[in-house]
Parts: sequence; C-alpha cells; structure tokens
Amino acid sequence: MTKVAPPAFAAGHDASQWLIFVGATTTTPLGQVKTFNWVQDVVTDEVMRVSDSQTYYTDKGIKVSGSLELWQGATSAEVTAVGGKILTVADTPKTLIAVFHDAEATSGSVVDTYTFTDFRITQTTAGPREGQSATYWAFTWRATLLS
Amino acid sequence: MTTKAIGDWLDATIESDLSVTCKLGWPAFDRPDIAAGAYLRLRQSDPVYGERISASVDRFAKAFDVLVVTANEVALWAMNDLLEAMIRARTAASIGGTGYRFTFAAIERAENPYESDALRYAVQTTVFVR
Repeated sequence: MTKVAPPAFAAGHDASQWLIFVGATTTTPLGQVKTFNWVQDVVTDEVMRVSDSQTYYTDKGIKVSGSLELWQGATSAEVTAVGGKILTVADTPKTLIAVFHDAEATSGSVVDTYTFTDFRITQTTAGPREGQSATYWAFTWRATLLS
Repeated sequence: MTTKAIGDWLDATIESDLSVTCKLGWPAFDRPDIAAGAYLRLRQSDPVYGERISASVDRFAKAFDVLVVTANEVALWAMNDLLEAMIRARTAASIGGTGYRFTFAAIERAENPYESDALRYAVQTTVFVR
C-alpha cells in the first residue's frame, strides 16, 4: 500500500496570537504576560480484583491547574488583577479567559476560547531576583473548570 | 518620534552633566575644525521579540554612541570623572511617559583613524537604552 501524503503543515503560529483576560469580559487583555500554560488531569479511581487481570477505571472528574508569569508593570495592576499580589485564604476566585486567534494583528479572529472558572492563585514566587534582571512574578494556579 | 525624543534627552543630559556643547551627529574626521565638546549619534535600534505573549515585537533596544573631545590629557581625565558620575546618576528616566533604563559601555579612548590633531584627547562610549 502506498504512503498517503500528510496535509500541508500550518506553520507560523506562536504566543503572539493569544490574549489573556481576567474577569468575565474580553475587552481589556493583560499586557505583561511572560508565560501562561495549563494542565488538565483526569482524576480516576482504579479497582482491581483477584482472579481478574483487568483494571477497572472510574473517572471522577477533571483537575485544572497551571502556571502564569507576569512581568512587573509600572504599577502592580495586573499582578493584583489576577489575585496574586498578596494571597489570603479569603481571596475571591477570578474568571480567566485565554483566547487563541488565527493571526497576531488586530484583524485576526478568534479560533478558540478557553474559560477558566474559579481561577485561584495557589502559589506565588516573587521578589527582585538577581541584580539587573527584569522583575517578574511567577504563579501556580488552579481552576475548578475549563470550558 | 521616540528616537528623537530619546536623543534629545541624552543631548540635554550630556550638556548638563559634562558642561559641554553636545551636537547631534558625528564630527567629520577629515576636517580640522573639530571643536571640544560632545557628539551623539545613533548606533542601532534592536527589535526585541517574544518578551511576552499577545504580541511579537514589544520594544526596541536602542544604542547611541557618545564622543567627547577635550583640549588636553588632563582635561580628558576630568571629563572621564564627569562621565563616570553621569553613568552613576543616569540609570533611568521617563521620556514621553515611557520608562527607560540606561546602561553604558566602557569609556574608551576614541578612535582617531586619520591621526587628526583635534581628536588626540577624546573618549567615546555607547549608551544602551532599553
């Protein structure tokens, strides 16, 4: 059987095509984002029994977590907006929306929208770091739902 | 015009810190009428890509060359002290509402390719604007 040719490769897409918004609206994106990524985990119960070599899986839910790094701004507005400046147990979770576009320019249109519900910073790494370096904030976060 | 605004700021700063007249542009080395003073010229503007997500080119790192011509060796050493004081004092500024940081290259004896008399006592450095 002959080999089938793969479809054309869609190159040239990068992080410049993403916008990140805090809050339920997509009007003013964050401008200081150094990195943003997420991990989705399926949480599963495993059951095994004697006399049976099969494992039985029961999926219970999906965990969403990830990391976010922000460059220090002239003010700490964006660090505050994502809820990462000072952590307290009483922090109100946010909504975070990540939108992927088909182009970097403002003429680009939306391809995918990822909405993170109950976005909550769970760990902050901050400080001036080493001399001469640009200051940035590194967060780990969790969300209850990615849709 | 951002480049002109930064150049004007550097020009005014050099005139103030070194107490010399600063000209925009480089002296013509083959002419004998190079006067004591400072000269400022654009060296490069380096686009900085991928600093953040959501955009590609976020800023331009600029560099300007500074040449300072003096009348004699002792005046040159005095000028070196003033340049050192300027490097210490001028590490950041807000120009046109945007914050910039300044770093300097080594203060070096200026090149004198045509063995021009007027350039015997001259130093040069480069200021990086980011």
